[in-house]
Amino acid sequence: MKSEEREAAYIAFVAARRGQLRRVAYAICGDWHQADDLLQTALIKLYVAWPRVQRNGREEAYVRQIIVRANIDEHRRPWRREQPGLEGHDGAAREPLPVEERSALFEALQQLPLMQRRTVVLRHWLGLSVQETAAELGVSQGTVKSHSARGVERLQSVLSRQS
Amino acid sequence: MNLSEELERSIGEGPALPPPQDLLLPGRRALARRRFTIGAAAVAVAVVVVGLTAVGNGLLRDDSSAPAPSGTPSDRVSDPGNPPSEPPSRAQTRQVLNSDLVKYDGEGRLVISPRAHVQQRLDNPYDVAAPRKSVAIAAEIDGATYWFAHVYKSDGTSDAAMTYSGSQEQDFETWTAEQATLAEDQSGDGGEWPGIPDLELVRFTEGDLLEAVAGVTLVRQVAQPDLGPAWAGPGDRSAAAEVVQDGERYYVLARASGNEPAQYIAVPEADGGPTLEQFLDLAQDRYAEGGGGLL
Repeated sequence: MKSEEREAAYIAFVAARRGQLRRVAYAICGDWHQADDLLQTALIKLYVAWPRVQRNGREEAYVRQIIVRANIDEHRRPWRREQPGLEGHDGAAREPLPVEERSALFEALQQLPLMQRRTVVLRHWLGLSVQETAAELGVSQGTVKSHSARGVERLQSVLSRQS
Repeated sequence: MNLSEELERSIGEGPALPPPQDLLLPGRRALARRRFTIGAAAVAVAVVVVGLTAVGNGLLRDDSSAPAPSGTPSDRVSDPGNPPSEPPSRAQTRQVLNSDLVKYDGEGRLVISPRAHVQQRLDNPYDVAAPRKSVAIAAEIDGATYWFAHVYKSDGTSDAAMTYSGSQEQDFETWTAEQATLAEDQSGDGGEWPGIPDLELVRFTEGDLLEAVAGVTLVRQVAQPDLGPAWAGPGDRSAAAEVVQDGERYYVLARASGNEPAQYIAVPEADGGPTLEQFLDLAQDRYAEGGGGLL
């Protein structure tokens, strides 16, 4: 694949899907700035692996999996980020969104333990199957079922109170 | 009330994103780091044309089973990038590239058609371990030079990249290095993140010194491996080790910062490479890219 073709295909994918992929990152980490960092990390890694990943037709799943795994690593190492922001787009310089704009449901999602949150996002927001969710998270299907059941129960109770 | 719809509504869209083109520069830099690693390996391998013997179907079979002897780029038979006086048409190029003129057969033998006149050959440019094989060939076919990169996989299949040289801006070695993803593990995602987080084989004793836990043999260790700032910063404890447990060889990265609990990441030899040094090259590459490093 010629480099200009590679970059054109890569940019087309990024332009089309980055908004939704950043929402996935935000749903998991609860912070738009960190979501930007996660997305950037994932998309740079995608650039390097582009010929292989595109050949397999797994672009979106690949990026999503990096986002989840990078988020895992961030949680293991809260003292350091792996990549700075894009040049000219310093995330730290942006104003944070007011917390009051976030819904009670989103706040409840952020209060879930990490594994519950990840299974709820993949399984109940994005609609992945139990098998697909287990594969993306690298856990058993039983783990997905138990964590998503507990997470959904807590979120449903929030929704019930709202209604 | 539908949870999926409510979540969709609650997550929102977020602030504006920078132009997607802004990702190209850091992407190119990350790719260049990988090319450099692969490119260094490619330069070290042979650039010679070895003996070919005729087999059926008018093809030639390369009987060399071991890596060819070392050579240098100056061993080239001719410049593999010289465009012909008359470039091939798109149809001609497509016909050549679809004709399997250079390929691995099902048993991992390199088969080259008599139509293809080899100008330059890089043996195992991607440093894959047996039974896998890799080769890059620059060959003149019907007056034009084409480049081929092939990786033979252990399941008897192979992956390939090929191009008309005149359509490329870079030289043959650089193009070959750029095709390195052909050699990456495509069986699943384990090859991308080979680390095992919960297999504790060593622990820190004093400073950057590691000791093996019971039942594990510590073969050797390196204090403060240079894996870049994403791995460890000034003042962090950091070490790498090669260990054996129950006859299985592993590489381990260990780090600790301040009062945080130490983190140990084990990588099986099959995923980490044949030597500790090659494992450290892999780790350096992964942490430079971001995306979770080895985990």
